[in-house]
Amino acid sequence: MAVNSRIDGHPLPCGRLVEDVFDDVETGRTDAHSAECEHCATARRSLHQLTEATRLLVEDPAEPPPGLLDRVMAAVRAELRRGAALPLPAQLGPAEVSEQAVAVVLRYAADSVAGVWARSCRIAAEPARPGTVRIRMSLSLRYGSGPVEPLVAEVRRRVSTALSGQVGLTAHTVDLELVDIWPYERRWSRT
Amino acid sequence: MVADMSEQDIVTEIRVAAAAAQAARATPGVVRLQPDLWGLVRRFSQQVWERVTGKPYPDVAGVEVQLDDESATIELTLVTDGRHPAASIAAAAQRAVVEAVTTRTGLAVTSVAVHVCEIDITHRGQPAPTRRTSTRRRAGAPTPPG
Amino acid sequence: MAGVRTTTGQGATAIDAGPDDATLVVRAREGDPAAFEVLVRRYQRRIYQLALRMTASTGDAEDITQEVFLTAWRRLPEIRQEAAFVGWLYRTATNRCLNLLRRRRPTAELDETTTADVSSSEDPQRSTEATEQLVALSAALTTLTPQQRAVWLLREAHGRSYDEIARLLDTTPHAVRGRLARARVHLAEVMQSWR
Repeated sequence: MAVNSRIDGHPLPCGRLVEDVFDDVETGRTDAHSAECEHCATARRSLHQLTEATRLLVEDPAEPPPGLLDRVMAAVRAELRRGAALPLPAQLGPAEVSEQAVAVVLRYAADSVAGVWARSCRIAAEPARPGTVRIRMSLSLRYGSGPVEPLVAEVRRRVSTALSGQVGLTAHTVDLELVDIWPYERRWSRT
Repeated sequence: MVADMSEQDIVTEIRVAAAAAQAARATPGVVRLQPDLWGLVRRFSQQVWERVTGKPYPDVAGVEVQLDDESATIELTLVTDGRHPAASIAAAAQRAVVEAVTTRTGLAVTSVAVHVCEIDITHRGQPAPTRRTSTRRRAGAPTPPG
Repeated sequence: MAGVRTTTGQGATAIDAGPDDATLVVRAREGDPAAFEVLVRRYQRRIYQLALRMTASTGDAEDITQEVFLTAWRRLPEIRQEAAFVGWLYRTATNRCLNLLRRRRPTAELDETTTADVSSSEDPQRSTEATEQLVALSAALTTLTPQQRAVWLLREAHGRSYDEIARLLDTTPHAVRGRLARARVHLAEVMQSWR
C-alpha cells in the first residue's frame, strides 16, 4: 500500500483508496492484499481501460477544418503593413524594394548552409553609397555542424551573392551574430 | 479626387494604367503586379469606363496613375522572380512602361515609380524562363486598350 | 500512465522539418507571414484538439483556434521568450476555453450531436472499438469540471509539465497533481460504468 495515504480519496469496499491503487500501478508497487483483492483488481482494470482510451486521445484523429489555416493566414496578411523600403538604382523614376522582401531572400540564402538558420535580418541603406546596404543578421547554429568560422564565412558569402544576384544591391557590411546553438537532437518536436 | 475629373480624363487615366499594367506584366522577371491592400476596384471609374468605351474594365490592379496636363506619373507595385536581380527587373519594367504608354496614348511619362513588394524564391534552382505568365490574372483580363 | 506522456501523437510529418520555433517567431515578428504560417501548420492541430476536447464542440474549437493564432500574430512583439511560443499558445487556448465554458449554460454542456460528430473519425482503418472508446472518453471528459478537464487534457493528452500547467492555471504544481488524480479516478469510474 502506498505510504502517502490520502484522506480525501475514493475508498474501495476493501478499504483501500482508488488513488492509492492507481499510484501503485504507476510505481509498480504490489503487496499481498492487492495481489488477492478483487476490488483492487477491478480498480486496476478501470485504470488500464482509461490508459488505453487516453492513448487513443493522444493520437486524436480529429483534424482542424481544412479552411482554418487559410482563414488565419488571410487575416494575418490583411494586417501586414508595408514596412521599410530600400532604394534600388533606377533611372526612369524612383525604385525601391521592401526590406522584408530582401530579408526573406537573405535568410533563405543563409538557411542553405547546412546547420544554419537565419533569425533576425535587418537591412539598412548606406546613404553615402547608393546601391549598397548594411546587413545585420542573427544566426542559430546546430551543434556539431563543424567549426563555426568557416560556416559563418560561407553564410556571409551566400548572403552577399544573393543580395547582388536576386536583389541587385551590394553589401557594404554583413554583420553576423551567433545567438543560439541547438544540439542535433533538439528539434521543436519531442520525437 | 476622381469625382472632380472629367469623364475623358478618367478614361485616359485607365487607358494609361492598362498600357502600363500590360507592359509591366510582359517584362521578363515580373511575376505579377500586386494590388494595394486598399486597391479595390474604383467602382465609379469602372462605370464611367464601361459606359464611355463599351469595353470591359481592364486589369489595372497594382498600377496607380496620376495625370498632369500632357504627362503621366505612374506607380507600380510588383513581385519579381528571384532568379534575376530585382533592380534589373524594376529598371526593365520602367523602360517597358514608358515605351508602351508613350506609344499607345501619346502622353509623356514623367516618372515610373516601382515598389518591389516581394521577391519570389519558390522557383530557385529551376532555369528561368524567358517570360513568366502571371498566374493571378483574372479570366477575361487584360483587355488591350483601344 | 506510462507510455502515454512521452509522445505527442503528432507523428513525424513534413512540418517537423524547418527552423525551430524561436527562429520562426523572430522571423514572423519581423513581418514574414510565411514563417508564421509554418507555426500555424505546426500547432493548429494540437490547439484545435485541445479546444475540441475542452468544449466538445467543433464550432467552438474552430473559433477558439482561429482566435488563438490571430492573437498570437498580434502579440508577437510581446512574446519575449521566443522558444516558449507553444506554451503561450496552450495558455491562451486554455483560458479561452475556460472563459467560454464559464459563459455557457449548463444545459448546453453535452451536445449529443456534437459529441458524435467529434468522434466520428473518418478513418476506416480505425476499429469500431477504438472509435467507441474515444467517444466514451470524450463524453466522460464533459462530466469533469472545466478546470479538471483542462488539467487532465494538458497533462495526459498533451504532455505539458506540472509546472507549466500550474502557471497557466494560476495555481501550484501540488494542486495540479491533486486535480489530475481526482480527474483520473473520476474518468476511470465513468469509463467503467460505460463498459
